[in-house]
Amino acid sequence: MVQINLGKREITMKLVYYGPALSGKTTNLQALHQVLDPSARGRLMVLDTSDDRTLFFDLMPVYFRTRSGFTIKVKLFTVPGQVIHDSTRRIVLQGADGVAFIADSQKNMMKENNDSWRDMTANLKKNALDIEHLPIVIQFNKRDLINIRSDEEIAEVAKRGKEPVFLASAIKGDGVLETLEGVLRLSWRFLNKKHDLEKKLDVIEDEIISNLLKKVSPNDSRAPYLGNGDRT
Amino acid sequence: MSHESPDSSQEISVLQHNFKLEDLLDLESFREVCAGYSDLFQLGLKIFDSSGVKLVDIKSKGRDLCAYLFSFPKGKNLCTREVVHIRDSRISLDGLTEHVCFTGLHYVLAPILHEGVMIGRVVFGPFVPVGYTLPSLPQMGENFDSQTASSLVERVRKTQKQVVHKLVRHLIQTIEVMLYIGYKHALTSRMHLEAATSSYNELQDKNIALEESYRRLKELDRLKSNFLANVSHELRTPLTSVIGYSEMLLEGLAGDLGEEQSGYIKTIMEKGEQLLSLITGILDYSKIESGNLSLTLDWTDPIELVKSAISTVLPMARKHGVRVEVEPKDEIPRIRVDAYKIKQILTNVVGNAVKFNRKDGKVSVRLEVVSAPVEPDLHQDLPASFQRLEEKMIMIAINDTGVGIAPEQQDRIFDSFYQVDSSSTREYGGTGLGLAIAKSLTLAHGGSITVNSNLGKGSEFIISLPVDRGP
Repeated sequence: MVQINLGKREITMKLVYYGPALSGKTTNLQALHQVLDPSARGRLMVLDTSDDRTLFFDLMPVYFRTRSGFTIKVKLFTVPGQVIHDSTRRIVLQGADGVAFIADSQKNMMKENNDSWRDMTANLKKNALDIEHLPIVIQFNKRDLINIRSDEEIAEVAKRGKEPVFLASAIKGDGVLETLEGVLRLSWRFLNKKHDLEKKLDVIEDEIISNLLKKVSPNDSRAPYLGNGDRT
Repeated sequence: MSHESPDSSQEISVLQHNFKLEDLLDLESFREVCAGYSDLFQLGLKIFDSSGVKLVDIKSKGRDLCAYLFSFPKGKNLCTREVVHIRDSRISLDGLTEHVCFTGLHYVLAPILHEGVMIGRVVFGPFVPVGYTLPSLPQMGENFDSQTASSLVERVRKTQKQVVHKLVRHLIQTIEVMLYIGYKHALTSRMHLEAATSSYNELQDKNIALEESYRRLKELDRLKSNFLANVSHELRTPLTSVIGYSEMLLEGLAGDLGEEQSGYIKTIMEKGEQLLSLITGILDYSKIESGNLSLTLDWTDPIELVKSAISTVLPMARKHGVRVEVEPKDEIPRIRVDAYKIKQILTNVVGNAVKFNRKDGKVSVRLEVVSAPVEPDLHQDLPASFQRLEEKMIMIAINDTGVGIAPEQQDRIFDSFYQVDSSSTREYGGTGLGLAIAKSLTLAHGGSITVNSNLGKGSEFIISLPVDRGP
């Protein structure tokens, strides 16, 4: 649930990257961390185990200050995909303003996608979040692999659903910004409709998106990753 | 769409918590770090949190001048105003802010940011630029001694502004790292506690629910066992006697029988066996209907299953003079199924193909791997984009040259107890449950069974089982 503190002039939104184990949620955040301007994002916090599996969650904040002096902060979380971490997933999902569901494009991972979606639906209900209205986008990741569902097939079936669908290869950085933009726009519109934020903050959607998704300048020599050490 | 109401006792997670500066730092260690900086550069250092609480206050020798000025009533007022200013004034969030007090002493102020939000400020100073001289301070009153004040100015650190700016930036970077570590530590430890508490609560609830359902299931199991035992005993026992005594009569154990008597006894025996098979079928079907069907899945060669099913019906085929052939068209992959149940399906369908065939007819079983379109809305609880347009299936087609099934009957033959016409039961035997059971078992495997038929020419039953997708 968005936290609006008009006194401190802060808006904090929460977006959650959900999906089956090893579908590339952390890789999405790592790719975003690489590509986003350090002035618009914080450090990437990765809480993982020794075998690179997410233990609790990953967290990266992105933020910008509006002309009217408001700080708009968006916290990007990932959930741990492994089945045993159900209670952690439920806690991370609590109060989410939007979800990017990271599905695995490989044909033999469809059951895992389905199970994870059902798990998310159950956890949304337990957190009293309404799946009918909560902004959700779907990313089919790992487009660089073989034995994946074809672009045509996904495009065809995507037409039948209401969730915007993005194709990505997070490991190459392809499609990750588009996915974040997708879920950010949907979530912002949803919150703006509810709280009339654009009027209160004197800001428009495109301004938020372009500032939050400001890319790092090619000449920026700052270290791209200051978290726990890169995961391969 | 209905929703479960959230657990009212559920507390707001640490992930939604807004941390204060002091929550994220080990203050004692932090003060040591700050003292080190201050000592190294001979500059005073103050750190305030976002609500103005002073967390660090390290004084330098330059402070002696302030103490002297503070001893005068007017000086006390002015100094207090300066302190309030450096503590509460609005400062730039994007860089450093300079402040020069009424004596001309310099301070540098910098925000401490966490996730883009200011949670505290650093105040470095006082210091004076090289060449600084104390202005005359007539407002201090008669007792003010400018010579004493000037001598105290000598103790104030003289340095260039750029040096202090560099130092402040460096300290801010150090604080950021300490905040990051503190934040990570706070989240990890509290999240660990939250997850463990949540799992414990969930397990408690599940235990209570499980105990209740275990009690109910035990009662149901007792009732079901009683029922099944009664059905088996009350129906099968007399039936076995009927069949057994008929068999003994036919074998002449009670004396020779006339042709007409033998005919009657044969009918009694056949109908008895039919009834026994019906009871067994009903028990099977009731298991499926009650959801008690459990599949024992294992990787299996479909061709072996087909051959095994054919060997079961071969004696009947020979009796009817029907040839049975297998044609695997492609290389057939192994699939993960319950071999016993799939054989039960195949035996039933191939058995029908033999039973309803003409004399000297033929049954051919063809296996191939096909890509089949997937029905839309197969899983309505999933987003449309998760559904497949087509998937790989193993198709087992059983063709016969028998009586065929009229188009209007084809939809209904998979209904329980349905037979194309009641006379067919008399003519061919059977309970009318076989195809219903076959359909249920195929569906339980995530597959399908369909029929194409030309009346008088023969039928083709197609059993499809998924290769990638299990039950």
